[in-house]
This record gives sequence, structure tokens and C-alpha cells, in this order.
Amino acid sequence: MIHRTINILIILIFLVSNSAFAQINVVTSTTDLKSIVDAIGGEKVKTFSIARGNQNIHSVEVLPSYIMKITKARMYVKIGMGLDQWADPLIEGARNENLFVLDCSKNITKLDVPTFKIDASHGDVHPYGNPHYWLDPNNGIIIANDITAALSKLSPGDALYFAKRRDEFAQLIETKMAEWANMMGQYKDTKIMVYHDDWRYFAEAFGFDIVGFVEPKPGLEPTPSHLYKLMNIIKTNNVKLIGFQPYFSDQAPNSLASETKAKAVKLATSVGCVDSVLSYTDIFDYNLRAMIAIIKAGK
Amino acid sequence: MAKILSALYVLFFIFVMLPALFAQSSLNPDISVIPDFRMFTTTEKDVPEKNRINFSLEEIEMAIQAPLNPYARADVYIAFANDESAPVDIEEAYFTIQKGLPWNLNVKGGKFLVDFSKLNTVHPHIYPFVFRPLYQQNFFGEEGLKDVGIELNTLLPTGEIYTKLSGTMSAGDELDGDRKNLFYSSRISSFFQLSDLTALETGVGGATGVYDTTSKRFKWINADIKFKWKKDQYTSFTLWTEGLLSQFNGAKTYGGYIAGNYQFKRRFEIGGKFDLSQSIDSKDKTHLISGNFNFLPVEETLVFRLVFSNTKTANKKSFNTILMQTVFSLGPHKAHAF
Repeated sequence: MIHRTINILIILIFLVSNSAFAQINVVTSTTDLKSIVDAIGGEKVKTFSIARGNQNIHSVEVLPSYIMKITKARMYVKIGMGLDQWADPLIEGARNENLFVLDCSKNITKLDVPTFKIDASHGDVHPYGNPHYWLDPNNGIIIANDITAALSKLSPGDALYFAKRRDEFAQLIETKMAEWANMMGQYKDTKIMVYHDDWRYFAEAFGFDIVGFVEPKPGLEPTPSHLYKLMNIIKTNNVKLIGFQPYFSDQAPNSLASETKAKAVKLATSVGCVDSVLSYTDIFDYNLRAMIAIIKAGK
Repeated sequence: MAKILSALYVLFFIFVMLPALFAQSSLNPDISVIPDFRMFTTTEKDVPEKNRINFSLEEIEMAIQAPLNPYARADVYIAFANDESAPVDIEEAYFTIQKGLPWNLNVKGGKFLVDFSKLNTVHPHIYPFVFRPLYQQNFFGEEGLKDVGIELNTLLPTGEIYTKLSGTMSAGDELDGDRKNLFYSSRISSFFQLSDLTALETGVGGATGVYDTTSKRFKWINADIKFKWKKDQYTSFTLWTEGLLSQFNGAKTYGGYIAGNYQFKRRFEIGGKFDLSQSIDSKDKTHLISGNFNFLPVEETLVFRLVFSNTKTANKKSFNTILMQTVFSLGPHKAHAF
């Protein structure tokens, strides 16, 4: 009888402890979303990002190993707006009826939504607007709100835990925003050039003025005639900085820099894009420091 | 009759599908049109194309795809081919029930490319090379192994390793000349993520059906391997190899190919392929060696492939072919599976 009671107690303790520490399995499209889910979910979530931070998220290959990750997940967090459309066949292939899919773009104020009929002659234009919205830290808070609501629905018992961590995350962003605004100070409205049109939200948040793109149209390789035009733009506008992500070829930015007084600099659009960017706020710390250092040196 | 039918299809394409293509909305299915235009010359004897420049609009593939409801989707591929005997061909037209079934099952029904070999389920415009492997032409048919039937597939519980098991039962019409001898096939495949940069997929298939006018069943075993190393967005190497063993009417025959493709710049690739094949009822061997240079100015919207090939058929002198293929695609471009 005593043995039986002990056995039942052991099983009950195991079940209770198991459910208390059961983590919500979350798969995200990008490392940035993973970083925010980690910030909100803490020890209550287990996360995996499909795209690596140093990968161009416009073209992620649909690998069956990713499907296996989603098969076991409770939630999938996507960027939306057509950027991570490669996630759809992965979600479809996972055959996971319990999966909740969260599109983080739903509450974002979208920029550059085409007001004309778009087609492929405009390059790789996103029909629902510019989807690189996580590069505005204020949008990071909106993403965090959506993630908090979704996690709380999946695990109502942990809602207070998630809400507390959401508040801490929002507080961190607000503190950092003041710090970043201070860093920007006199450098507001500085004219810059970037490789691809994924810095629109970043420029809006910190006050940079993007005067040109290394790509003639989104997704296209630069041509000699386009580079010649850019040289004139750089000279006319006294551009000191040409930003590009490490997964783009540095040939065109370096060639522009060698012909002008501008400098080419590697920027990070995601967590893990460069080695020192390990969290969502690191993206802004790293980019602003790198950009301001070059602008200062060019004065 | 064939001419009337093809005229009706062309009218349907012009007045129904083209307006839909240019007015895609969330309620319309996704529609893509992918023409394959070729310019070539050959030294093959006794063919009218010998030693002259030839132009051919080889095929126009139209894909119509959409979810049917929250549980199922449908895919239809129509080919308008440069072939007087069959100018219009329903390449595939099938539904897939993806949710709501036990044991992780998916059910596919209609006409589809049979999941018997890795390459067989891939549409030719996605190949890194131009010519369908000889053994697939010889054993499966020029358009690959496709049939009207039903397929069940499931993901096996193999931990982190993706393992898919599929089984197909189909009419067998394409192989037995419409005599309704059923065709059965099955394939198991596994995908291994070897590292951040390398991945491997292997598969083994088995099939049986009745060939042509005989009443005897053939037995096939097929094995496939695909390996990919992807250093970064612009540098990758892909190796494909497949082989088939056939037993039919007392004869054991085989065929296979090995192909490699190296992307060395954002827009450029080089590749090569070696084919060796007998056929289901003949031990005569044909082999083909080809090399190709691919230029993709803007991803897959416009692809140019320059190919040189040398073909040697039993009891015939070998011949060379030089071909420039242009594949251009209109409509949404979806991510391709590994």
C-alpha cells in the first residue's frame, strides 16, 4: 500500500513538474523575431529561427529539415508582407494542425505601399509595402505586443510572466531610443547610400536621408551606368557612407567608395548578420556606432 | 479533331487565362506561364534538323494553383507543346488533402508526376540541365512518369530527420497503352542537414506495372541522391544522381545519370551530366555527355542555358547537339523545395 502511494506521488510530481516546465516550441522566420520571442518568453519558450542572421531573407531555401522543426512547434512567427513567403510551403509541409501562425506585420504602419500597379518591371518590389519594419525599434515594441498576446493565448497560466517581460522589453527599447537619439544628435538628416531598399524604417526612426541605392531596382545587380549615376549623386550630396549587408557582394560599394570620398561599411539588418550583433537591440547599437564613426571621420 | 481542340485551348488561354494572369487577386488562383524557347543545331543523321539552325517553342507550361479550402489544395499544369500529335497536354491536375487525416497522411488524387524518383516530381524548367535524363525518357516516357491515380504519403517519426513514405496506385495507361493494368509504386526518402552549408537527400523507390502490349509485369527499383553545398547566396554546388534497375520479360536492364551544377557568381552557373541507359525491353545502351553554361540575369524570371551534348546510340555513329534554351516565367515565383 505504501509502495503504491509513493509510486502515485512520484508520477504526480513528475506530471506537475513536467507541465510546469513544459516550454512552448516556437519557430520564427528570422533571428530578429527569435530574439524578441526569447525576450518575452524567457525560459517558457524554446525557439528556432529558419533564416540565419547572415542570410538574405528574400531567398531562403525550403529545406525539409525546417519542416521537421515546425512539425513539433506550437507557434510560427513570420514577418509577413510577402518577405518570408518561403515559410508557407514549410508550414504547409509540416502538417501541424495545432500550429498557430502569427504574422507580425498586422499592426505595423506600413511604408512604401505601392500606389501604382506593380509588376516585375519594377524589380523585386513588395506588393504590400516595404517589409523591413523590424528595423524601427518602435516597431519592435509592436511585434513584442503581438508575441505577448499570442504566447498568453497559448499558455494563459503564464500571461502575467509574459506581460512583465514585455514591459521590461518595452522599457529597454524606450531607454535605448533616448540613448540612440542622443548619439544621432548633430548627425540627423545625414545623407547616406545603401545597397538594397531595406533601410527605410531605420532611416525614418533615426533621421537618415537615403539618397540612392546600389541596386538599380530592388533585387537587380548594379550596372556600370547606374554606378556612374551613383558617383554623381555621392559627389553632389556629399555622401560619406555606403551601407551594405555582408551577404551582398562588396564589389560595387567598394568601387563607388574608391572613386569618391564615401566609405563602404558593413551594416547588420538582423541578429547574427555580423558576429557582434547578438540581440535585437544590438542591431541598432552596432549600426549607429559604425555609421556615426564613418560620418564623424568624414567631417 | 485535334486541330479544333487545340484551337479551343488557345482561345481559352487568350480569353480566360491571360486576363486572369494580369488580374491576380487574393481570390484568384496563382497562375504562372513558363515558355521554353530553343535554338539548336545537330549532327544527327537522317533528321531534318541536321546541320542547320533550328528554332523551337518547345513547350509553354501553365500552372494554376490555389487552396480549395482549409484542408485541401489543387494544382493544375497544362503544357502547350510543339508536338502535332498532342499539342495540348494536361501534365498534372490533382487535389491534395493536407489536413484532417490520421497518421499525418496527405492524399493526392488526379493526374500527377509519380513520386518514384526525386527528379521525376520536378518540372523540367527547374532542372539545372536541359535534357531529361535518358533513362527516365526510356523507361518512364518523354514527359516523365505521370499517371492518373491516387497517392498516400506520410512523414515517419524519425526525430529530427525528415523521412517521407509515399505509395501510389494508378491507371498505368501511360505504360500499357490504355489497357487498364494498374501501376503500383512506393518511395521512401530522407533528408539530412549535414551542416549549415551542406544537405543530402536520399530516396529508394519500387514499382510494378504492365508494359505495352504484353501482359507481363515489370519490376523497377530506383535510387536517388541529391547533395548540395551552399557556401553563400551566390556560391553553391549541387550533385544529382539516380539509377534504376528493371526486370521485365526475363531481361534485366538498367539506366542512370550523374549531374553536377556549380553556381560561381550570382548570375552564372556551369554544369555537366553523364547519362547511360538501356530500355525496358532492350539491352542496347545509349549514353550522353553534356555540359551547360547557365546565365540567370534576374533569378528565375529569365534563364539562358547554352548546352553542348554528345549522344551515342548502339549501332549508330555518335552525334553532337548545340542548343540555346531560354526559359522565361510570368506570374508569381514561389520558393522551390530542396
